[in-house]
Amino acid sequence: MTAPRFVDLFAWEWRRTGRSPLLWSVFLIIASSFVWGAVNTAALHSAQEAAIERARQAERDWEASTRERARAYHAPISAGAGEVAYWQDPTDVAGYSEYFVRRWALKPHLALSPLASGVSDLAPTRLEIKLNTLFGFGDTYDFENPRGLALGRFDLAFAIVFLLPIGLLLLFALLVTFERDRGMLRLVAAQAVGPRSWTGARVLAILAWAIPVVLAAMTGALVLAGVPLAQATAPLLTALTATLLYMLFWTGIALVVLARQPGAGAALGSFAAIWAALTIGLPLAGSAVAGLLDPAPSAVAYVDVQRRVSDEVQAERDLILARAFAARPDLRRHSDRVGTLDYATRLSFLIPETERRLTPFKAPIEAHRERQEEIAGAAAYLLPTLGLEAAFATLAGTDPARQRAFESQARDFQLDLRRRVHPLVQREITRPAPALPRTMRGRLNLPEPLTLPAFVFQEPAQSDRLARVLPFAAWLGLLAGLAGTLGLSRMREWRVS
Amino acid sequence: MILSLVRLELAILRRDRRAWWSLLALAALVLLSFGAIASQAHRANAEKQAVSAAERARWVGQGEKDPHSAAHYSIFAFKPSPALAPLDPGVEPFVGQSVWLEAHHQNDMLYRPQQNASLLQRIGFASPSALITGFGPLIIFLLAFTLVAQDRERGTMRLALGAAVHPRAIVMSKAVAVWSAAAGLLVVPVTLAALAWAVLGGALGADLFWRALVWTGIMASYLALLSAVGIALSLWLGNARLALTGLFGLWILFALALPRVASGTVEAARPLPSSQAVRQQLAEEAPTFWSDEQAARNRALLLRRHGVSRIEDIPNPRMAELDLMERHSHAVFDRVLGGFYAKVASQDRLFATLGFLSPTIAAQAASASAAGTDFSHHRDFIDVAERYRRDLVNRMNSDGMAHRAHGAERHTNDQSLWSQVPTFAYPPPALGNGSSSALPAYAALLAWLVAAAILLAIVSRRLRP
Amino acid sequence: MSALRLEEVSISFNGGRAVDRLSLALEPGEVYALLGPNGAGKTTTLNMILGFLKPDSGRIHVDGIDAVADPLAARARTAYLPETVMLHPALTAVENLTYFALLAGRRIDPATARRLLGDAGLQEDAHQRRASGFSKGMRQKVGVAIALAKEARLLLLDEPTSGLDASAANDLSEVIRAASQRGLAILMATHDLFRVKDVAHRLGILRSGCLVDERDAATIGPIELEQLYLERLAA
Repeated sequence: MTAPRFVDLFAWEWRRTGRSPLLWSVFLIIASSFVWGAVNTAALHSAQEAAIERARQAERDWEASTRERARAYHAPISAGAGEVAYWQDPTDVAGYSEYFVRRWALKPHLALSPLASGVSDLAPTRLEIKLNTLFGFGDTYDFENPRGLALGRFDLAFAIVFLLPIGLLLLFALLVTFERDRGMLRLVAAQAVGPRSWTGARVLAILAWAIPVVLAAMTGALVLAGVPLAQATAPLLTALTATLLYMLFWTGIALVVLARQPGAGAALGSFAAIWAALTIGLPLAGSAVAGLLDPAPSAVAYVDVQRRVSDEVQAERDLILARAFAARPDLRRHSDRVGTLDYATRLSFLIPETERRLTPFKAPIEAHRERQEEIAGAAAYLLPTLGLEAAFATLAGTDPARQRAFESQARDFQLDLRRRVHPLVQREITRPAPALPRTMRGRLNLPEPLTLPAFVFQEPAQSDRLARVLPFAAWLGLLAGLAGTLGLSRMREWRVS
Repeated sequence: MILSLVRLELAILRRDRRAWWSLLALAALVLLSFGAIASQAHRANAEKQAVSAAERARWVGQGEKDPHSAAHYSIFAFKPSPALAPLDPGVEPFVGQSVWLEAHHQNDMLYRPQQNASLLQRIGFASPSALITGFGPLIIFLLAFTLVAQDRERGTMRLALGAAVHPRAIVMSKAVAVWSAAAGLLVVPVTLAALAWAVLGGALGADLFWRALVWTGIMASYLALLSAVGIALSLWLGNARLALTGLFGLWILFALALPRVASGTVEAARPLPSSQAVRQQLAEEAPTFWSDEQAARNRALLLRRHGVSRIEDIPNPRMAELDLMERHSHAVFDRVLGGFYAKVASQDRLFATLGFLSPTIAAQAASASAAGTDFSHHRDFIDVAERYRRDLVNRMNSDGMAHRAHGAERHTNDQSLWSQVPTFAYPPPALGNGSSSALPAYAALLAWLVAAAILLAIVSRRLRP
Repeated sequence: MSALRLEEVSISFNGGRAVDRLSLALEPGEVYALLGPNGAGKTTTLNMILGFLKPDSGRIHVDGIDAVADPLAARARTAYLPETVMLHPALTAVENLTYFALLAGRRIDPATARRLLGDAGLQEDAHQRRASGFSKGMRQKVGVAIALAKEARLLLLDEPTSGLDASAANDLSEVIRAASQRGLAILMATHDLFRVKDVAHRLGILRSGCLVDERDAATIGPIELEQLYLERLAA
């Protein structure tokens, strides 16, 4: 007589587990949560896409209105229609630069965005770009109910990262400990089977049902959320692989706990403790430690600095302008005009100077943010829950890195606009104002509004996103393997005496 | 007798390593999160006070200028962190902490503490309230399982019920033991810490004391109803495994799934207009820079209002036009932003009403309201700041309008006017004010408490040895 | 070759000897009753034979296999019937038997399963019923069928008649006798002196882990057995 073949054990367990109402109840709940999460996030992103489209339309309307007004102000001054103030006049290059150059930097969502809401509920997808906003764009955001933000969004990533392990652990805890709780384990152990084969076969049987069901539910949920699979094949396959490895990771954890051959109460207690530690306890402690070691520069203090610097620049306004004029051969001869420049023309000098003075205060804020993201990136390897959430956000295109790229490109876009417009504004300094009263309604030193480029988000390559996720996926696989090996290696003997 | 039984049950709980250590671990996390939030809030409040003082000095010392320019310069107002935010920060991490009160704009509140949070910071942000409402059920159900289901599985419950004169006393003592252990370790220490913190910071007043008391009552009620449900289900469900599955499922449902599902449902049922749409409407109806055509319409209106035919007959037409557009914008802000915020309040009210589906939802909504950290309290700050802004701008514009200036002429004023504007101060609303959106949550919590007590009574009456 | 051989087997828990230099041997077809009060070391002895506990010293051989060095192989030759047989409530008697046989490394068809259940005394109408409604006696019979299905060389019975009514206990005695006749060695740990006299060939009395007496069951009457048992325990 020999020990049973593993494949026979597995086949039996697979058939029997498949008849468990508990298994299918858990699968049903998991699949429903996936669908709800994906559809919920898709709704948010669809609203944001609609806002992006409206912003595009608003940009077109604004441009058309600017052109229309520029045309209208080519008319001669009449009794009913006089000289147009410079800040209302798109034919005045200075007024145009400050009050008419408005562009939208827009960050469209990727095809797989319903996978994870990531930073999309906090960080803006639309940035209004004006020439003289400090550092590119205002500190703006789309209002989402802060109660919902504090609670966290029920997205697909939440369902996979937080709920899926609970479901899986519940199945392991209840289906693998049944014999222990029923008092059958001695009889089982007295047969010619070791604990490793017996537990392994049952765990594998649960997994053999769970893996295809979960991966199919995930794909189905994304399809229901409107994801065009053909456009997201590579990231979707990566997300499915990461999910599979995540399931194996929790299976490994489960094996470590089940190696002690506990009852359901003890198993579930241990699982809950590990789950809570990985999802809240350790992130809370990690975040607290990171905050203590590297506290965030104060936003309130930055407001103070901004006000002080702004006051200083205003106080030194003429001096700054004089220096700027002196440094420019084309303006040197016009230093007498320093005191008579209009507000918009002055800004073309003062804003860069303000930014220069603020940079030492803003840079630490940016550096802190980058450090915190690096810490989070490193913590992702210690906390697979965090890692998977970050990986999903990366694949969905809702990750902080893509947001930073967007913001950085928006800033570059503003600088590009400044390079195009500010020289035209400053060129007017060299052209003395006509002595005669104006005859036309508009100033007409910019007869036609400029044809400025539109912002186009240079999407980082898809391969970059995948490359950022793959090391974590490999690490997750390694952790799963280590935990599984540890669990199985501790299952040498029955604990039934 | 009950007291003696409770003491015995507590001794059993303390000797069950798994349940007791889980409770202690959660209690430690609650205090850790309190400490982290309290120290951040303390630092932030100190900075806000310092910068507010600097803002006031800048306002008063801005020198001689056109009053409308002064209204543009204006001040930044800072929202002080609510005193009980370390117990439940509510929406605080996700709402702006500062607003620029300048002319023409009802600006958004900026600098949300979690705006640029990394994923670790966002996942790792947990408050005492979130820990208690989210993980309290798990721990309490574990304690209830320890005292009832395992007891019954081992047969000791049968023995006890057989010996007892009043089986209900046994059930009650178990529920009270679970509740007192949970409330004693999770709620009482952190409330005392909050009060001590307030005393040290010199912030302890009657309102804060009552708020702390109400918050404690909410959390204690929440833990009490969970204890009753946990004990009742453990008794009612046939065996330990079933009880464990039921309790675990209930925790997932109550604390993990339903709050987020409810939040999503509220958004779907009462969607907010997008910020883009709101801003566009504001820009169209109350533009900061208006067109020459609008300016012509303004002039016509001003002439009518002043009953004159020439613009020169208005003492300060520029200021009059600015005042006209300013007051027009107030009506637009009240209608558009007021309507928007009313929708947010309506969402919160619906969320609180969904507390009838899950006591966790009820506890979350009620807790933030008691701590003064829900959106209705934030809205109060927005309104107070906006009233201050309007008063400041109107005062500046009125001074301008009262002084004749035409063409390139500018009336200016100085510190004598600036100092007439009172210092911005924000008195938080007293307990009860600004809590209307949370009222359904209080009702739901009470209903849950009553239902749990009835359930426990029914189950204990049906108990047979 | 002996079906079971224990040589000077000892084991201690928390400093106290649970089994002390126990030696015994069972030949094929022999029924050996191990008598003793609670805590005498009967179940500990069975646990060591099954490989659930490792003895501190001594040797255990099952059908010539070292049960300490290779417990799995020894278990493959050992059938075991616990005091209370618990079964999968959602499975029928046939399915339960099929499952445990599978765990023992045997694949049996439904006809064989029904035959084994019949041999164990389970009524035919119960074969396809779910075990959730089975009495203790019925479960015990399925347990016997599980043991029979294993075609082991050694059968270990742990208080096999505890909680059984007289009829069920009698049925079990019949099964034990039949198994013995087929050459199965049976080690029975029990308090049931009456049943011991009924089925055992030899008996040993265990006290505080020591085998204090060993007799041929045929040489001692029921009353003498009871007197001997009480004397040995009191000594």
